[in-house]
Amino acid sequence: MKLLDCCKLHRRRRQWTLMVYAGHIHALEVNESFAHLWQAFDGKEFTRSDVAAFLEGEYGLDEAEAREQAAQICDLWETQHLLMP
Amino acid sequence: MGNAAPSDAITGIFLLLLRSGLYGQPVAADRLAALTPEHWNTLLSMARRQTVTGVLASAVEQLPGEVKVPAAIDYALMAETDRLEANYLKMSRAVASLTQRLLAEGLHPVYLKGLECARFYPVPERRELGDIDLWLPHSRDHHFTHEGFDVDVHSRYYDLYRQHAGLPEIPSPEAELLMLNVHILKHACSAGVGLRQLCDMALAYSALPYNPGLYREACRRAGVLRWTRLLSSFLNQYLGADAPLFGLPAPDPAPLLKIVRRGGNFGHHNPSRLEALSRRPFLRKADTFWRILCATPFSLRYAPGTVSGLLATLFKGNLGA
Repeated sequence: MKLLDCCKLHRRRRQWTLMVYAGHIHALEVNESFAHLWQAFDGKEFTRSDVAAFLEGEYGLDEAEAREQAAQICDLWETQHLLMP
Repeated sequence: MGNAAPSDAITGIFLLLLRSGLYGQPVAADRLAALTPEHWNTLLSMARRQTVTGVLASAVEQLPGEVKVPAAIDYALMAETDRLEANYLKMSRAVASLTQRLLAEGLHPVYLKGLECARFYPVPERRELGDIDLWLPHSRDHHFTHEGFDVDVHSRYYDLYRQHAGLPEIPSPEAELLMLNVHILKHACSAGVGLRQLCDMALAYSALPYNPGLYREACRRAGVLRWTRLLSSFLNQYLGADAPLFGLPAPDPAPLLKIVRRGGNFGHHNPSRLEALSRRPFLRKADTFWRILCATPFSLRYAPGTVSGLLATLFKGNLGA
């Protein structure tokens, strides 16, 4: 899977916003963790396992917790239409 | 700086924010505490009319956390900067391929304004870009398109209307400053000029290692010394620049502010000018002729040699579009 390539992450006065230019323009206010993940995988092909491994390494989660959170994150990206078709 | 004549207070805040965007000058939160969402809409509208949204965006990014910027304004500015940055990248690639093509034909272009001015900005990608302008010595004025951009080829480096002996060698910092200077003058004495070109000039004075004595002499030879002092007074007072006054008192910059407020972006936001631009070429030229005449008191006061030259150029077909 790959993140939508028509997005741009902005940081403004400690607030992160993801500008999405798919069809119409919309803005998503996101937190620091979302922004960190987005920056890590933007422009790259990845799997859920890659996301889990990243969470383990970056946040010190155990394997099971990392797998669960990675699944939630990837599902969120999918439901928010933030993945390339 | 718009049709509804924003108040002097809002104009003052707009210019304060531009200075912040250009030079990184911090803006105290209390200066903006009384701004309503409508005021912010007005500021964004002014930035669009003056084609300086990238500068405004830079300023807003630097505001203290306690300043409440409406989310819609933040999102609009983010979308603007993304658009500007994408266009900058596209134009940079187009200029690179155009240069290769021209060099292969034995031509040596000197690029003017636009992308060249962007390099003066703290974030070059945030300078609004339009056409690609270049000077080709010994060529004629003409236009073509390249990779989706309009390319204007100029036969003259300077927007001056008669031969002036002893102008600076091209390229040089003094030549580039004079070129930008008289380009602003040309538009100020016809349809109007906006803040984008004035921001370019303000930053150019900081960025270019020019010799003040040589530059003063160049302005004198070009017959624009008095105009240059007015321009400098405007840039220093409203945009926080360090533009030269040649040891003389700063003239009142209000006449130039009036021109900038009236139109913005080469007068393209003056409603009657907008209407004229949508008409046939003859009617557009007639409108430009009328505007040159209306600007004559200003031109005669600050650059007397400009009026006849502008009219001659208009009738030769280079103005009015």
